[in-house]
Amino acid sequence: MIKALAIKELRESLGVTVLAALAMAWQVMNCMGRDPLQIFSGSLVNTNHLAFVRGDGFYDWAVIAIGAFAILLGLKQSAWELQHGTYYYLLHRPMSRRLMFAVKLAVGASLVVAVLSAAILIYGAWAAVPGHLSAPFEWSMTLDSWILAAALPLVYLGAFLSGVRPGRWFGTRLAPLAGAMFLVLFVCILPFWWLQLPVLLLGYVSWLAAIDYYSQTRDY
Amino acid sequence: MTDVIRTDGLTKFYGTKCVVNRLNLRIQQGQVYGFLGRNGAGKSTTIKMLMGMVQPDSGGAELLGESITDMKPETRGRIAYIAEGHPLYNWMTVAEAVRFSRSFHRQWNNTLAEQILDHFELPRKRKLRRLSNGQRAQVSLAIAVAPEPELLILDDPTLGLDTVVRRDFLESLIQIIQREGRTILFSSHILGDVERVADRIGVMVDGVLRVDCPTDHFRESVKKLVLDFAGPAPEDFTCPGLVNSWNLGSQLELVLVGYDEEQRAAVESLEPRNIEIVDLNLEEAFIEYTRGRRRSLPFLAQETGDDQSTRDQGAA
Repeated sequence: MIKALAIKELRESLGVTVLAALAMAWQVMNCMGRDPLQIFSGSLVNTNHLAFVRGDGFYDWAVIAIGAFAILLGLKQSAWELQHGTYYYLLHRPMSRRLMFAVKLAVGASLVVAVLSAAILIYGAWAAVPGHLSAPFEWSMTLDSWILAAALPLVYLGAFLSGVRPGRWFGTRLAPLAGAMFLVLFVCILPFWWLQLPVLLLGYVSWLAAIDYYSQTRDY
Repeated sequence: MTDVIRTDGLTKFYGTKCVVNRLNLRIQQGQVYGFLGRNGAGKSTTIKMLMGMVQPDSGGAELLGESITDMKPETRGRIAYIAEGHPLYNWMTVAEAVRFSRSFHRQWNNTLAEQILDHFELPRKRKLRRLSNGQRAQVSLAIAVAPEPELLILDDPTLGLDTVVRRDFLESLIQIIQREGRTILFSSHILGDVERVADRIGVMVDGVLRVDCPTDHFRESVKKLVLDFAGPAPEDFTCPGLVNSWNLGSQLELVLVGYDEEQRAAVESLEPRNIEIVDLNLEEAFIEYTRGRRRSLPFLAQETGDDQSTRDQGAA
C-alpha cells in the first residue's frame, strides 16, 4: 500500500517535476557555456567563471526555480486533494493517516532534493573535467548548493502546511509558507554549516509537528 | 442484535451554529438505514464525523464497536464509504483506480469487482475524467464493495444521477444488501430511493434527529386532515402532534403525527362539517414533516429493542 501511494504521489507530481527539471537543465546548460536557445548548433558562450560561486547564476536560479517547484508541489499535494474532495476517498483507505501523510511528505521532499541534487551533480561533474572551465574547481565549492538542497524542502513543508492548515483568510493561511521561506533565507546567510544545520533541524521538527497536528485534527 | 453504529450525544458546531445537536443514533446489524433531511440539516456532517473526516465538538461514536476517534486501519477496511460526488482520482483509468484501492486491502473480492464493472459495461482503460457522473458512481460502488465490507456508509450516492442510472445503482445496492449481515447507512434527497431500499429511516431537522423509526411507520404516522366548516375555519388550532396547519377560509388543513383518539377528539371539538383523512406517501410525509414549524416538531420514534436509541435527542 505504501508503494501504491508513493506511485500515486509521484504520478501526480510528474508534471510540475518535469517543469522544474527542465528549468534546472536550462540553467545548467547556461552555466556550461552552452546557449540553451542554440543547443543544436552547440555554440559555446562564456565559460570564464567560478562554478557554484554565487554570481555564476546557478545558485540564484536554483533558489527561484526549486523554491517555486517546492511551493507548487507542497500546495498540489495538500490543497489540491482538499479542493477536489479526494481526501474523503484517500483518508478512508485502511492505512494510518500518519503513515499516509508521511508517504506524501517523503515523496514530495525527495523530489525537491532529487531535482536540485541532480543539477548540482551534473554541473559539478562537468566542472570537474579539466578544460571545461577556465577557472579552478573543487567539490567543496558546491557546499552552499548542498545546504540549499537541504533547506528548500522546508519551503515545501511550509507550502504543504499552508495547504493542510485551515485558515480564515488567504494571508494567515500562507503564514507557514512565509515563515519557512524566511527561515530558509536566514539559514542561507548564516556563515557556518554547524550553525545552519541546527536551525534547519529545528525548522523541520517544528513544521513536521505542525503538519502532523493539523492532518490529524482538522475537518476535511 | 448488536449496534453497528452507535452515537452518544454527537455534536458539531460550525462557528456559533450547531449543525449536529446531541445525536444519539443506533443502527443495528443488517439494517438498511435511510438518513434524510433537507439541505443543511446535518446529514453529511454526521456522516463525515462517523468517518473521522470531521472532529466532533462533543459526544462520541462507535462503528463496529470501535471509537471513531482512534479507529484502527483494519476496522476501517471493514467499512465502505462513498462520499458525496464520488471523489476519485480523475487521472486514473478504471483499472488503475481498482488496482490502487485493492493495494490497501487484505481482503478483496476481485470477482465481485469485475462483475460490477462488467454489469455496468465500464471500459477498464477509460480515464475516470472521461466517465459520466453515473459511471463514476458505479466505479465507486465496485471499489467500495470489493473488500466485502460489513458496513456501507453512502453519502447521497445517487445525487446527480439520471433516473435509469439511479435505478441500476439501487438494484445493485439491493443485491449487495442481500448478502448476509451487511449494514447500510445512506443519506439521500430522493425519497423514492429511500422507500425502495431502507427498512428504517432517520430524519434530521436543523441538526436534530427528529424521526427514527421503520419507514412504513413514518409514512403511516404522518396524516393530513382536511376539515370543512360551514363558516370561517377557526384560527390558532393546536393539539399534541400537530406539525403544520393552513387556514383556507372555510377549510382547515392539518398535518398531524401519530393520529390517535386524543387528536381526533381535539379535531372534532372544532365541530367541522366534514373531516377528510388523507394518507401521504413517504415523499409527501417527509415534505410536510420537515417544512413545518420546525421548533415545535413532535419527535417520532419507535424503539428497536431494549436500548434508548431514539430517546433524549437534542432539543430543537
